Amino acid sequence: LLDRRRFLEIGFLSVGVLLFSGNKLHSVVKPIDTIVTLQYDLFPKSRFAPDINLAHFGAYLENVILKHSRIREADKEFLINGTKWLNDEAIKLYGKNYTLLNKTQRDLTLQKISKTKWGDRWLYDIFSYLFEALLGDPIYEINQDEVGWRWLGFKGGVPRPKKAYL
Amino acid sequence: VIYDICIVGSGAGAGPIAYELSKSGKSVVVLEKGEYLNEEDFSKDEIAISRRDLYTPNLKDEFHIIYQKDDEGKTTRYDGREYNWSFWNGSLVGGASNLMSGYFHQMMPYDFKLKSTFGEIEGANVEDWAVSYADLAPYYQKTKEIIGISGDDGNFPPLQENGATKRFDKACKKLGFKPLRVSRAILSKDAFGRNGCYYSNFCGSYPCASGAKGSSRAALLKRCNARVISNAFVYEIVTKKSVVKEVRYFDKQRRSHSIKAKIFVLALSPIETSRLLLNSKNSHFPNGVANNRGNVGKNLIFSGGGSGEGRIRFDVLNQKEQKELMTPGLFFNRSIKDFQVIKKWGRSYKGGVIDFLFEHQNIISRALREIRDKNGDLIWGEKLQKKIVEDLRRSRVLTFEVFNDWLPTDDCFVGIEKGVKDKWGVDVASIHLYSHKKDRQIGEILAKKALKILKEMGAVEISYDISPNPPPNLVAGACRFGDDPKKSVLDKNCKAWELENLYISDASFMPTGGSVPYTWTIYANSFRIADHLMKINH
Repeated sequence: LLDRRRFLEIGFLSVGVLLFSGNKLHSVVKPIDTIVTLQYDLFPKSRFAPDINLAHFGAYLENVILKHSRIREADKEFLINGTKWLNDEAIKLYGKNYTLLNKTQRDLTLQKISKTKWGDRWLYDIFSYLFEALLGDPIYEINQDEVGWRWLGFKGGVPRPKKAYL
Repeated sequence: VIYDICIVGSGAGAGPIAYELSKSGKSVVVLEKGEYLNEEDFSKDEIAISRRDLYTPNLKDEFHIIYQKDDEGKTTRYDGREYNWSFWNGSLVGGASNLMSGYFHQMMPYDFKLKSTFGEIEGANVEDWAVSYADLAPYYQKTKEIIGISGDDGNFPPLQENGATKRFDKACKKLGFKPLRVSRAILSKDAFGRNGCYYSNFCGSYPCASGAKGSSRAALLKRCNARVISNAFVYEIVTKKSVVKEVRYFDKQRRSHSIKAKIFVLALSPIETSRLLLNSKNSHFPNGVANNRGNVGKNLIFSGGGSGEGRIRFDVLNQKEQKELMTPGLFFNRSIKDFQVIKKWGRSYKGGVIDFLFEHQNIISRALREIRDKNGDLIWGEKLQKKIVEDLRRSRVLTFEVFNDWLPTDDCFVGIEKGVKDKWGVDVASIHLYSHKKDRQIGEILAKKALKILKEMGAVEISYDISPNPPPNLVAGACRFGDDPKKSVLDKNCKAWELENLYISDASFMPTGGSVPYTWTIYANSFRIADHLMKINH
C-alpha cells in the first residue's frame, strides 16, 4: 500500500483502481488513462473545435480540482469513482476496459451510462471541469494560448486574475 | 475606546450611516466578517468568482439549515452543506453591494401602503409601512447625489446600450407596452474620485475594478473616515437591561474582542441580523435581544417571481443587427412597469416589474448549457461542438427577471438550529421557507407578458420558470418596522422597540418588498436613519 505522501506525489488519478468481473479481478486501470481517452470522446479532434489537449484537462483535474478547498470531498470521490464505474460498464458490455474498446463501443458505453442517474451527473461534472479547462483563464495552466477563447471569439474579462484561486 | 456608533456589517444598509455620521464628526467603527479588498484586488476570473464562490463563505464552514414547506403543507429539511444551498451574498467589505448588477428602482407610493391600497390577502401578513413614499423620497434623491445613478431616474447620462434594444423597443411599441431605460448604480463617467464604467462585459456577480459600481465600499466607506475592522465575525450583543453595552467578535484566529459604543447598528443582512439577535440571550432577553415579544425573525420575505429567456438568432437579423447584437460589454437596460397593478379574480392585486438583460457573459456556463439536446439528453462529440459554435457565435440569449411581492406569512421566518454549529462554534440560522400561491400566480401573469415581447422580437427557445424557491440575493424582512410594538421589532426610525440604542438598517425592516430589487430603498432608508441619528445626537 502506498503511504499518503507517496499517494499525493503520484496524484489521485495515477493510482491504479482494481476492476472486477464477477468475483474475479479483471484488471487495474489508472483513472487518468480513462480521462485522457474520454476527453477525446466527448470533445474529439474535428474541424469544428480546437484540440482539447491544449486545455490540459487531466493536469487541471489533478492539480486544481482534486486539491481545491471549495470542492467537496464527496464530489472529488465521485469524480474518481465515476472512472471506475465507467470501466465497470465497459467490462459488463464488452469484457474490456473502456480504453481498450473501439470508438463505437465507447460511444455506446457512454450512451448507456448517460441514461443512468449517476452517469448523467458524472458526465455533467466532467463537462463542467472540461469546459473550465478549455475556457477558463490560462492563469490556471489551462486554455493554452487562449485556444478556447479564440475558438468562440471571446475576449475574456478585464482585469485578468493575477493569481490562480486554489 | 467608546465609539459614538458601531455598525455591524458593511453593505448597503451600513455604508450610508457610516458615511454620514463620520462626516459629521462622530467616531464610527464598522465590523465586517469578510476581507477588505479594493479595486486593484478585483479581476474577472470566472472560475474563482462564479464557479468556486470566492466571495462567499465555504459552505463546509458556514451554512444554514433550510426548511421548505410546500403547498400541501409538507416540510422538508435541507442541510445547506449537503445540498450546496447557499444564502450567502458577499463576505467582503461592502458586502453584496460589490456584486450587485445595480438595477436601481424606487418603490411606488402604493408599495408603502399595500394593505390599505389592495386589501388583505388570506394567509398573508401584509402591513403598511411605517413611513410613506414622501418620507423616503428625499433619501432616494440623496442616494442619487452621493452614490451616483445613471439613466432616466438618475443624475448621470445613461450607460451605453446594445443596438438590440431598438428591436426590443419596437416590439414593445407594437404590443402597446412602454419600454423603460433602467437606472443603474453605475457611473457612466468619472466622478466622486471614482472611474466611470469601462464596459468590462462582467458586471453582475463580479466586483467592479474601476469603482464605477456604487457599492457601499467604493461610494461610501472609502470616502469617509469611519474605521473599518475586517475579518471580524460578531457573535454576541451584550446588553444591560435595555441598553446595548458592547458587541463581541472573533478575529481570523478566533480571538475574541469587544467593541463598546453609544449606539449600535445592525446591518448584516436579514438572515444573519436575526441570527445574531436570537443567539444573544441574557436574563433580560431570554429569547434573544429585542425579542421579548417574539417578533425577531418573523415575516422573512424575498422577491417573488422568477426568470425566463429567449434566444435571438442571426437568421432574424440583418447584417448590421447581427454585428450590434454580438458587441460585447454594452448593456441592455430595459424594464417594463406597465403591470404594477393587476386586476384579476374580481379585485386588484399588486403586480410587479420585469427587467430585461443579456444572459451573463460567463463563457464556461454558456458552453455548459449546450450539453443537452431539446429532450434534455446529454450530447457530445462533433454534434456538441457544432451546437456550441452555432449558439455562442451566431446568437445571444436575452433573459428577463420578474419581481413581484413575496407575501409575508407565518411559515417564512428565521430561527436558530440549536446545537448545529458553524466553524466559529455558534449555532447556525434555520431558514424556514414558504411561498404563498398568490406570489406564483402573479409571477406567471408577469412572465407571460415578457414572453410576448420575446416572441415579437423573433426570439426562439423561449422559456420561463416561476418558482417557489427564493432568490437568496433578494432577501428582506424578519425584523419589521411598524407603529405597533406588539407586531413589529423596530419603530419607524428603525430603532428596536425594546432597546434604547439599537438600530437595524439592512433590509430587515421591510414589511413588504415593493416588487423591485431593494438596493436603492436600502440605501435611502439607511440615509434616513443616519439623519435621525444626527438629530438625536444633537
